Amino acid sequence: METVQIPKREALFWMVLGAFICFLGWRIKIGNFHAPGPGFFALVAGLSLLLIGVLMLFSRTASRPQASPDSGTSSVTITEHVPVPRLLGTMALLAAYAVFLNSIGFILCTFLVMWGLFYDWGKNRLATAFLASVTTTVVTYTIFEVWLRSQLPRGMFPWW
Amino acid sequence: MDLLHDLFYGFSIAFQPVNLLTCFIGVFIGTLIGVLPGIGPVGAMSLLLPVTFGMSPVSGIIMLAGIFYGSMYGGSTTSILVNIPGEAASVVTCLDGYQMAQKGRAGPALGIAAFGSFIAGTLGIVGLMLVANPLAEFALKFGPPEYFSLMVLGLSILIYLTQGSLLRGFAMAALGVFLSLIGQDVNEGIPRFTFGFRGLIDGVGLVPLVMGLFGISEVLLNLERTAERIIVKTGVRHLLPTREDWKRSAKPIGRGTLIGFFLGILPGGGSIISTFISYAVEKRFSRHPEEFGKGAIVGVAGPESANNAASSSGFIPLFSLGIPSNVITALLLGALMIHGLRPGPLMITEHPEVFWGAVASMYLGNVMLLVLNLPLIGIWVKVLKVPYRTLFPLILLFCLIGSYSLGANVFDIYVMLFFGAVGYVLRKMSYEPAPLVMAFVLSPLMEQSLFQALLLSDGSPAVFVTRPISLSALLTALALVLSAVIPFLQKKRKGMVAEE
Repeated sequence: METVQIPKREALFWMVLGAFICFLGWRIKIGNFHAPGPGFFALVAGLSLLLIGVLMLFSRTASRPQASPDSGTSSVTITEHVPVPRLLGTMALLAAYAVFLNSIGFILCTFLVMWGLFYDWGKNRLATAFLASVTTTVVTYTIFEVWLRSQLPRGMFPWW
Repeated sequence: MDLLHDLFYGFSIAFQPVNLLTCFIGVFIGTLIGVLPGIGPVGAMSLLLPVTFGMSPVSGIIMLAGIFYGSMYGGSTTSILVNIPGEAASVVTCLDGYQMAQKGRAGPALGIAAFGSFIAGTLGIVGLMLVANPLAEFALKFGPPEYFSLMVLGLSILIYLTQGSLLRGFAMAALGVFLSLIGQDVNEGIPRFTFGFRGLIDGVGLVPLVMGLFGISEVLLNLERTAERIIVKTGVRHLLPTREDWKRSAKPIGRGTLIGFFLGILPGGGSIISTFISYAVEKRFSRHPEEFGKGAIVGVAGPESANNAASSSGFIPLFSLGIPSNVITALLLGALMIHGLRPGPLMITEHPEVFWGAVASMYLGNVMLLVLNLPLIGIWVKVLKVPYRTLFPLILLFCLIGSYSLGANVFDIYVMLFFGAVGYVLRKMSYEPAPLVMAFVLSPLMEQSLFQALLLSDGSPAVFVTRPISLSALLTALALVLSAVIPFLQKKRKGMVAEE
């Protein structure tokens, strides 16, 4: 198995985070072995992270993760690159869902976000995405609101 | 006789129409997510966890357990027909299953996988039934120090068997411990580490955390790949294995069941490791080892039996000790606690309907799975053809609705998205999220046991090393931790994980 060195910045990150958690634990009272306080276990977690960071700093090697099982198989063609706009676009749509869900309601919010998610930028088929989005909205509304009575937000259309 | 009486009692619960329905939904969804690459049993169970809130605890557990063992069945279908494992425990099945399919023997490969899974799953449940109760009675002698040390050991084994760097695994576990501490402290009632967010007073929810780490991050990672799936075109015919196939597979199914059962009890993803060990054992026992990798039916029968036996025995530490053996049973532990139950030695006696109802439902679930996976195989082949661009918006929507419906709170969606982004970055940097989730679930119990143990011992930490069970558990855990820093042991572990 090939080995790679853990980057120093990674070790430093865990050390800083560990020290920060120790500080947070100390701030809300650590207590002692007779009467452990609410910060006691946090101190243990923080010290562990600090120690892990130190060990990472001095550890020369770490095993490289194995290739994912599907990456080496003969029946699959996989091209891997980081499509940053697509990832950011997807996350932005999900964040928009959280921001607007209460104000515009489940039906409209789900329809708009799903339209965006179903839209295939390569093929530019707005109508297909529209239909898929309508179907998904109707089906999920029926399942969660009508059958499971999940009390989804109605937003600006209280009669929905 | 008591055992039979209890089992009949379990069947009286499992045969209730609502429980039959939840069992069917569970195994159906399990098979579906097993067939579909891109969402695993952990993601699916966390998606459906909020749905179980409206059910009785036994119905909820029956459904969630069904997803778990159902995914083991479904995973083999994609391995055999597409050469992509539907989930991690079916990786080995690709080796010979796909080769069999290419030679026009997809039917017998699917058939022996389903029959082997059925036999092993059923025998595994018998083992669960026989072992869980006596173990629970024995565990009644455990005190807080033993529980604390056993949880430390369980977590250490899981980290040890996780792929990649041990130090990274321990970092994930420590982070999981910290995240579980966020929220109101149960002893003093003061808010801990909420950073002024009111939504964090009740703590970070298990469902948004798991959905983010496993659901959202998985989708983001899959969006980076353009995968073209090539499904075997030979057609699926003659699902029943021939007499010769049975003759060759009988012993591998038996051995796979035993290997899976015993490894499944151990913490750390027993169902995955057992498949690799079963494959290695079969290759060693075989008179024709050269056939392995070229379509040997025993290379499908053994591992598929092993992963199903392991999925049954994985419930033993959960039901008898209240200690999960992997992330999936950790999620079940979380579900039981949300339903107001405290898994542990007393659960079987205090809530026999949950334990025996779940056990009996597993027998029924295995029969349902046999029907779902053999006569209805055509449906799953069609499901395989659904393109990912259609699938991923649906997965994301279910994550969004699942998080929201948990407490009708948008804050949970933000938490899920945050952990989705964190999970994506962590996985890109070769950090496994499983130890984080396991530590997150175990940490409140560990903290409670630690405090109780210190209280009992009048503040002396020596209590953990003066009691034999606690001492042995801690020493074993220490040995695993040391293996992270001692070069010789590091090499040994790499060998084990590489085999895995």
